[in-house]
Amino acid sequence: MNSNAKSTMNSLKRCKPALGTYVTIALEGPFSHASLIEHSSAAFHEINRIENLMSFHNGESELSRLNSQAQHGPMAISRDMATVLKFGLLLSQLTEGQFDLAVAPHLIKSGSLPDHGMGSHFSGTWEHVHLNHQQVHFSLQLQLDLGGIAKGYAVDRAFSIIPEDMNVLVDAGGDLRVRPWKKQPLHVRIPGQYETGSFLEIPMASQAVATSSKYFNDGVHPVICPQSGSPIEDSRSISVFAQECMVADALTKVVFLCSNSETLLQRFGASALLVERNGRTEWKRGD
Amino acid sequence: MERRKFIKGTLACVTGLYLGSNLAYAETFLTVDQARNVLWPHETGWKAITLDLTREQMKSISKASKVRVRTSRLTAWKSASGAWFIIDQILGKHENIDMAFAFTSEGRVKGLEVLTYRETYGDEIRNPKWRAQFHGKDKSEPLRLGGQIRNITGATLSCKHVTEGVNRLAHTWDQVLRHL
Repeated sequence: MNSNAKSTMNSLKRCKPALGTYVTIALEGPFSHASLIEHSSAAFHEINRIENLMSFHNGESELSRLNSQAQHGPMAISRDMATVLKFGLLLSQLTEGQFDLAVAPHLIKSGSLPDHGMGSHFSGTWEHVHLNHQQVHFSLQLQLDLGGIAKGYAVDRAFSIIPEDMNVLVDAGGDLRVRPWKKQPLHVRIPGQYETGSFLEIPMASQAVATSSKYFNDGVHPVICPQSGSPIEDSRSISVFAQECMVADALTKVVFLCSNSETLLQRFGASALLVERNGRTEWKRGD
Repeated sequence: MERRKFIKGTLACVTGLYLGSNLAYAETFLTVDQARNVLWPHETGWKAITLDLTREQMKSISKASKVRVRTSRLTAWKSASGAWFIIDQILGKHENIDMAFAFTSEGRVKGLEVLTYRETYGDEIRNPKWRAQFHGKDKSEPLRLGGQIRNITGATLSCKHVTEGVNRLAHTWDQVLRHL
């Protein structure tokens, strides 16, 4: 491979299985192929690192250690975990618990998550999670699941280690972040029309986007209502545009769960596109 | 390549791919040689090994890995120091995905790369003639329908078949490749 053509524009596109889906990283810039490979490898490595910290499925992850031990006393956590928990708890506070990371017991009961031999009888909620800088303590036994937020965070982390003069796309199964983003088209699936492959083309409204819908989840909605413990009934797809993919990822759930989501979208400088089964669209914007 | 062209190439859906209301595409990533260089940058002296598993071997690998062995043909390379590089297919949502697998000389997984991702939608899935175009292609000539990458938000596809593929090939290494 050409390793010294610094002035020539080169591009590289790689795809690997990670985060429970296929992750694509595309890079372009006046860099050698060797450099593009090196940067993409570092970005994939970062995604794997976050997955190893935040996976519920992996019984050895930092999250699993928290879930089994944090009720016994304060535990030191990584900076990444602190960032994600801080944002998740802020959303719980702002939505008065309609967004809650402690929904894992409901997902264990439905078979979507493994119980790691601990059962699913936990009644703690976000209010029992006490975060103090890089220490966390559960005042009641609970199980956190970061499935609604960590994928976006992993995309952000991978994105952040790419040099600023390199064009980049990080796409984790539709949770994606791209640079440059202005005037770029995005394709959103119309819910219920997977088999006919119908899409809406819309311009990117921000650097990152994430979408939640039940169309790839065997007909069961991936968003759980923390109060009822049941998957919500909503056939729409919701795409949230934000500056960061973690924010977009988490806010898709907030738009599904909260009637006053406009206020939150405004707070985070985000906007949401709701798509109905008939292709009809509605924008929710903070402004 | 201009900046705009790059993004078009990474974000755009090619309208020419619409066939009535149906859509199909194949997205190619690294070539076989690129994938081998990425997964094994320091290995040299690669020797191509193409072999057909016997019916007994297929049965035995299926039993050990609990994954059905769908094809007997195996396309692999072995380096001078005993590292392995295997090209194989796993099932995606509807179509096969071409993948590269790196195994160490001890049979441990070193890394994976997706080479070609294919997907079809709609009536064409049930039409054998349509499906036929996706199969039997020479690896050096990846299928291109428009040749553009298409990013679709919300397309969170499960990659559970990857784990099965790794498992199947790990047992293939254990039972067959390690003796070569």
